[in-house]
Amino acid sequence: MALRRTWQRWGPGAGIAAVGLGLIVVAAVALPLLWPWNATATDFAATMRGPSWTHPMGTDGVGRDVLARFAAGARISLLIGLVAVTIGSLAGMVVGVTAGLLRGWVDEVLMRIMDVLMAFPALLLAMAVTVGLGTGLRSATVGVTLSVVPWVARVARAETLRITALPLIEASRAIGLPRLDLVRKHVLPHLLPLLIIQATSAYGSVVLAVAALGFLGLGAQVPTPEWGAMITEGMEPALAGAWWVALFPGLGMLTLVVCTNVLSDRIRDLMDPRGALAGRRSRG
Amino acid sequence: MTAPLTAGRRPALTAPLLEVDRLTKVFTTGSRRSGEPVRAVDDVSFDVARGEIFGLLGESGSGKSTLARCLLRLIAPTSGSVRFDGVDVLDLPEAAMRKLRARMQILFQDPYSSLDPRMTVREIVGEPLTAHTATSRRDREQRADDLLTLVGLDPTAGRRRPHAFSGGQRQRIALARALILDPDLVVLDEPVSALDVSVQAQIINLLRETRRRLSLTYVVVLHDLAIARYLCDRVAVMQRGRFVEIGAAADVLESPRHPYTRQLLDALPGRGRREALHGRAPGVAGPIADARGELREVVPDRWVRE
Amino acid sequence: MRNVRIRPLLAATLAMTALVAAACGSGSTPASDGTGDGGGDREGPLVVNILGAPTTLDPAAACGVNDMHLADNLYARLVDYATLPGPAEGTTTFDPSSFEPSLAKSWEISDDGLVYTFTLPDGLTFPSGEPLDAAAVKYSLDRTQAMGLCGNRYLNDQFVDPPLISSIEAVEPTVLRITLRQPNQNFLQALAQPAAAVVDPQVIEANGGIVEGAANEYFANHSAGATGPFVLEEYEPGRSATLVANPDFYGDPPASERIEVNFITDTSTMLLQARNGTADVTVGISKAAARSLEEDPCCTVVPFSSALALDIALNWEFEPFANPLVREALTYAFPYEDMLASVGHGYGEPFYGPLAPDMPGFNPDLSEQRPYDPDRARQLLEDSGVTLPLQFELSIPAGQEELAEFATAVQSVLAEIDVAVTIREIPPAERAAILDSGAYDAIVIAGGPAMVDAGYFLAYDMSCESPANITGICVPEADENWALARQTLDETERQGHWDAVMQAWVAASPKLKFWSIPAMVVIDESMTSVHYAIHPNFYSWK
Repeated sequence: MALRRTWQRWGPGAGIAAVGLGLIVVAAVALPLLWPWNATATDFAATMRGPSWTHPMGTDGVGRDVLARFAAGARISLLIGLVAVTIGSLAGMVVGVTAGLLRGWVDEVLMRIMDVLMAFPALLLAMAVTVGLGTGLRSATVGVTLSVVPWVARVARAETLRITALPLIEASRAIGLPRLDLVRKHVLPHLLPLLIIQATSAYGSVVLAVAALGFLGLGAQVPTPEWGAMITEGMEPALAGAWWVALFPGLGMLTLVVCTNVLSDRIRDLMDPRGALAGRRSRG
Repeated sequence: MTAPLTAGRRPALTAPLLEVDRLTKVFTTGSRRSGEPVRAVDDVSFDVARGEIFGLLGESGSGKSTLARCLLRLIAPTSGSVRFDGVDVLDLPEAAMRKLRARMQILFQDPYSSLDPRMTVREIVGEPLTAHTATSRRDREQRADDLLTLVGLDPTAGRRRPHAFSGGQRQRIALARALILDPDLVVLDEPVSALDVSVQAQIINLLRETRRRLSLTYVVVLHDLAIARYLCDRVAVMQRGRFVEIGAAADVLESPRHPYTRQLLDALPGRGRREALHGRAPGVAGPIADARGELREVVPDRWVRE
Repeated sequence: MRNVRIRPLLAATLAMTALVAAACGSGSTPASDGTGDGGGDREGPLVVNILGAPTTLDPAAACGVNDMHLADNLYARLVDYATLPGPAEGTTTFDPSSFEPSLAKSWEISDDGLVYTFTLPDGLTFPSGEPLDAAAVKYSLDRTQAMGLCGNRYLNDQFVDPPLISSIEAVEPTVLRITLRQPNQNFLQALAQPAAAVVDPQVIEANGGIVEGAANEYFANHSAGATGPFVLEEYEPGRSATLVANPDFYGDPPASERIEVNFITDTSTMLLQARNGTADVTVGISKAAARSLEEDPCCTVVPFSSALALDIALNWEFEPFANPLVREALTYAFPYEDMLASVGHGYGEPFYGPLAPDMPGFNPDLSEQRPYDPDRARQLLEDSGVTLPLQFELSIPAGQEELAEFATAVQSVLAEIDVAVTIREIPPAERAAILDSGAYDAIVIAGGPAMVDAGYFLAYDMSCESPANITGICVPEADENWALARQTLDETERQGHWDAVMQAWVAASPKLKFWSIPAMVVIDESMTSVHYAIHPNFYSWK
């Protein structure tokens, strides 16, 4: 019964998306433990083999199992997405809330910095970071994390301004609630749903940006089984007929991004941050 | 007290609970270049005795809500002084001010947006205790339940969230929160104007009742002169940030001396134009009477701007 | 507010990705309208796709092989490589150890090997009408030396201080005499290089003349005179060049009237255009792509022998690699044949020694590849006393999939003998600086000398003293024999020195060698004649 209600609330699109995402998560978590092949072990006797029972996704130019690499790549994409979105959102929230609460020059300085960050596409930002930190997954992660910050900061600031203008904040001030308590008990809880929506909708683009960096050779380095880098590795073999090396990570990427976007849209609809306060005119 | 009192204040035998002296609040609105400064509260002085209900009357935009917030330093006044029980409120450091807030509470106009929708009623009512005392959760809940009973709600209401309640009930919850710290002064900012007429009387009676039982002092912001007549001991009529008339509620509202007060009374529902419905301050018909001149004590304790 | 979305970010990301993809595609798509994919008489120009773009067209400034893509077609040289039959029908290749007259009709070498006297044909002129005589050749060679850039190293066979060439005299308009400081068995090849190209003194003087020790920026993108079989009709740096037959050329006109050369950096584009017939000849295609074209009726894949090899230079400054046992251990760790068949796609020949199989002087008996013996490798590592696991960083040029794949294979193979390799991709722009400063533990080098000569090659790949030695290897006994071999004109005696070099080198296991790398050329079925030379020469192509 509860299941059926949940299904109705979320709708079939989100259901399919959840299944797709679930499959990738399962592949990322369970496969490396269960699958006999390893993502980096080479086998010179079995290079560029097409999909078969032993290698369902085939092997690449040095005889590595593409399925094992696919799973390891899923792990990397999911994890980096999670890290970048979490850290980026938290940092954005701190910046946005600080700016919204303190106003004045602090607000000005912080938001101008955010504007500058926002002026660069995620990829360019990440490329700039690689100049400083060297190419690699670490700088790619830092870069995309940075790209998440201003978006969240802006929303968090606007929301903080809206919330602090609410009478309930004045009421809390009037009872003499310490400022930190006020933020912790009244501002942050109202921000949270919005931030979750922001974070989930940023997830897809973050994952994509990391893959794009890998594709350009600025992200994951050889022989890290990162999806973007795997697609690059598979480009030429694909032209030569070995379609499986690039196709599977490409499909994985597509599934992951589409599914997270569909889910984040649903989460947005279900967690409308106005929901809680929108009832103010319905005098139940 | 040897210094002559500012116009609007009166000599008292016992020290008043609240002494307001030449309080002024200037807002610079809009962009700093184009916006003209607005004197929302302009050179206002008055005293409120312990146990008194002091009404601030005026149409919307006259500055009465701003004045009410300045009294509690929710808005920082531009100049003047507010003394609460002999303590200069505006001079206090932040920490001391926070402590003082336990003794001066406010009840807002809108009970829908002044309660956090994410908290239970018990948490809302008990929240002031967390800010000022180190009571246990159990004690807090007990106190909250007591207060809910006091304001006429079933203590079981405490487990629910504000959206489960009607406007009148929410205002009771808000009142319970304002009273839980056992304050001396409660500022009531249009306490019933957001409510249906049918529940207004209940709340007004509740306010009178609690004042009596807890020996509270109220400063009430009102635009409904009928309610003011019924509730207040003394009233001040405000126009464009200034007082035009101060005196006992019965005197001022039954024999107004300032033309603006008369205009206000004429606009009262049932006494002329019928546009003053709940939720909105009555508009004054015709050319608005002048607020210039100086406050003079025409009879003892009766000040009129002339 | 409800519509605050991160969509723009996503859109931007997608757009960027598309943009990059588009850039990769369009950047290397030749702007060709007429393509010669019909058999026999082609209608449009002959289209050549070649890997890499020149950074300069000035033959005196040319450094890497990319800079020499056009030089031999645009400029005359005194001598040229002799021609050998190629590995496939309709192909010929160059002979790195035998030279024939080109601009010079003939030459004589004095018995002591110091004086070269060239006879030039009479009555040749530049398009301007000025004589193309011994004085013009002297001007050209002097220019290369005066500029002191890469060309000077080639022309003097790496002997720059003091230079190998002691004097150049235009004795008569048809007689040029070059005197060397010491005998050099490689000097004729030096004269076959772009560095010895004959340029038009008038054109040079009209466009900035010669500045000592400096490049002339004008000639980076312009022809320095029409002396070769082709003239440069159009040149788009980094993208393409159009060559047309030179009406003033002293020899027979070239076999094709017009050749369009596209400089391509993306190997996928190369494969596509080779397969669909957009390109008539593709030079430098990847081994994987070549393998996939082997069965394709579109074209013929021809691996030409070159002196290139795939190796890993071990930095002796990196402590573990200073230990000969460690180096030796690594040489036994690789299943060379299996690796060649998989990551090498089967093109090449395993060997172990200082000289690649195609290098004159190579002795197969002394250059056998080490057997795959992981137990021995482990034993040697243990004997060496090095701390295990041995960790080092293997540098590879960024963006080269073939080498990335190779490095991955190396990594997984060495893991078997408790050697942990981390792969570091270095931007191409930093490669030279990293090699120069020795800021690496080990580095993959896929390549070889621009001049096919052991003496020239080992000057930068082995010699103890040479400042040009980029790998920091020093095997004194090999070094002595290398110096002797360079000056020895007698072939048998010289081979004796080379053998000694090989023996001493192999005994020291100075670096890891894998296999020789042939130059991969894909020829469209419509082509009837293709000649391969170390620097492309389209003279006989049709």
